[in-house]
Amino acid sequence: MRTEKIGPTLLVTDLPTLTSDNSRAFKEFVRGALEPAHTVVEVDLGAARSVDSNGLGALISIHKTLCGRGGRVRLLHPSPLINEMFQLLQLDKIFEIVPRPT
Amino acid sequence: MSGAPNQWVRKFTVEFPCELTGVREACRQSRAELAAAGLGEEELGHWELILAEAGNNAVNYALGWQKHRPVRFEFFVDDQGVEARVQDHGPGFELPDQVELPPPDSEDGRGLFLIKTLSDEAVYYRGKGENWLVLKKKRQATGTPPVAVTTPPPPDDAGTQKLANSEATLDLMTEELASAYESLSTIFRFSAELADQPKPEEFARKWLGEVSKIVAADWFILRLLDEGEGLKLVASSEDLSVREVLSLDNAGEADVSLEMRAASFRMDVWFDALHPVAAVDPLAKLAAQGTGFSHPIVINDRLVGVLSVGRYLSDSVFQAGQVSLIQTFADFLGIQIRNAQFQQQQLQTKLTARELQIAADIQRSLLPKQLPHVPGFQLVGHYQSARQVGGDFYDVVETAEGGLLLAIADVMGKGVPAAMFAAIFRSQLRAAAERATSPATMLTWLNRSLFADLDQVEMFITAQLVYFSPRDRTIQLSAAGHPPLILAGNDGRLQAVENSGMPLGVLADTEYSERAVSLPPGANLLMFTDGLTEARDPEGKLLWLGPLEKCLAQAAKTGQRAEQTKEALIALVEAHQQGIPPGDDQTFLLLAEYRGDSRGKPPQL
Repeated sequence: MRTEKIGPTLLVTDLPTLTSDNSRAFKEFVRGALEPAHTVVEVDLGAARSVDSNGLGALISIHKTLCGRGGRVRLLHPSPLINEMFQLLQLDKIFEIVPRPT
Repeated sequence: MSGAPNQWVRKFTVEFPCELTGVREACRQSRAELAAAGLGEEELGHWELILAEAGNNAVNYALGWQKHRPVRFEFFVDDQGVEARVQDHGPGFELPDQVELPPPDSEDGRGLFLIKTLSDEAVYYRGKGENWLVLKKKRQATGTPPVAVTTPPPPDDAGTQKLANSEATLDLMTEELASAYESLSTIFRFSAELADQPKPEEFARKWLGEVSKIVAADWFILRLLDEGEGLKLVASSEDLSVREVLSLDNAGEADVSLEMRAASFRMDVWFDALHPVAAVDPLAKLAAQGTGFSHPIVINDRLVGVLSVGRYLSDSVFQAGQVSLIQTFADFLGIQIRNAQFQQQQLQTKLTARELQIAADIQRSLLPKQLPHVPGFQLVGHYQSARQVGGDFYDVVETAEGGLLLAIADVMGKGVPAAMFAAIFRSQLRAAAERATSPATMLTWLNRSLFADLDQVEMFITAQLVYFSPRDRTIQLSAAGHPPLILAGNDGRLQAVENSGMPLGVLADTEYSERAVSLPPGANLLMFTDGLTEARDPEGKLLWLGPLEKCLAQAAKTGQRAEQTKEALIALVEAHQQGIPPGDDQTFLLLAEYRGDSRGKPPQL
């Protein structure tokens, strides 16, 4: 897991999974890296093979933190399966999802 | 699975420790096995997510020792579909038919929704010691047949796998039913016996012993909350040496005592090798090497007690069904004990009421049914019992010399004991009256006769004896700690005739004296107990002697009938009390000279 700070955006990359075993660590890692100036968190899910409900819980928690400062979470390049799950759970309504380039 | 005969069947099991990191690895392994069984990428993705959610639930719901048991995935794959069974050892949960999505910003609550939505069928069986989540999902047509066949089905038997699956499901249901049956049948047997068992503590000891055998516990300790004292030991397995009482006021104890923590936090507190009890815990000796838990018994949000159950060896953990039986039994026991205590209180109230009734009956039986007729005089008596019956009584005995022995007494005390002593006093008095006519001699003899019995129970009797000679118009009075009598003549003059002596039962060798008094013309003589002068009004003010004397003087002056004077005295006391019940028995005996009607019938009581 790595973070990159680009202006108002905090980019999180190198996530092989976002599941029960690492969701808490992920949340704390992102919160730790967040600076007051950050209003967008971009989570690159391009390398993520699986995301479960605990991982979603962590994303929603970060989303709420950013809402408090008028910001948002953007999810980049989820796999079709993960994307399907976001839609199934109607989370595409609260996250901005950037599809994988075809 | 239904459909055409199986061509490719794969059965495999993945077991993992009850922790979240184990779920991840188990999902990876399961995915690899399912891929080998020929499932397509999308199916694999779905199964991986379903299994992750099921595994997370199994881990998250496990408590205490349950976390030491592994979680197990079992798979049955054929060409039609996949059945996965997830075994957990937690307390289980309810899986509703319809699972609603939580609000979008909720951080949890999506796992069951995903399981239900992504599988074709999801059923949760809560069993004895273990639970099973059975998940079924049809295979997609695009899946490729597996290359390897690890467990070939029996040849040419399409129904065998289906039968095996149904059998396994039935086994699970049977297990669950058996567990429920065991708990229920124990509780029914237990309820049936409760009706015949008067002491809840003995009952608890016996049945906790039975339950301990069923769940293979080595020891148990039941404490019930005693409001004044704390958690009081009520029952334990044999030969246990544990503290009698755990004080709820001792904050330090709550930190170290398993039982106190269970009581304080109203939740089960477990101990095992990984969570040992503190060395200063009152259970330390029992629980040092073992495993078990303390369960708070709470009825209607009120702590009733704590049941602790354990095994001496830590590698022998209780199974979920056993834990469930202990918990159910403890809660049921708590209700039964509370009910028994309530019934005991009710019984005690009834017994007290019955005792008072008996005492009142004895009192009534002591009173003379009819008073002797003395020409020129009228004699009436009155007895009004208080709510808590005391030991007042009066008696009139005709003597061989043609005189009357008038007696009034007050046994100090309440209820049956006081009434019993009144009865004894009465029989002794009648025996004494046959031997002597001197009241002082009688009292001296009565005191010697009754002293030992009265002294033993720390009771005493105040009494007043009057020997009345109608022929001589004199009285001889002797008293043992009793209020003076009042004598009024037809001139309205009053005198309090006193002759004090120790109450009966105080000193063994008391010698009583007596005094003789001539009766004035139109004499009205009132003997009474202190319940009369100490009648209270609603503000607690005593009646005292004045109004009674005034009433008696008036009666003597007007020469009214004794019965009228009796009614006037009663009305006087009742008017003072203003409707509140008397705090003590009220008794009096009235002798009135009556010249208006010398043919007058003897007054009736």
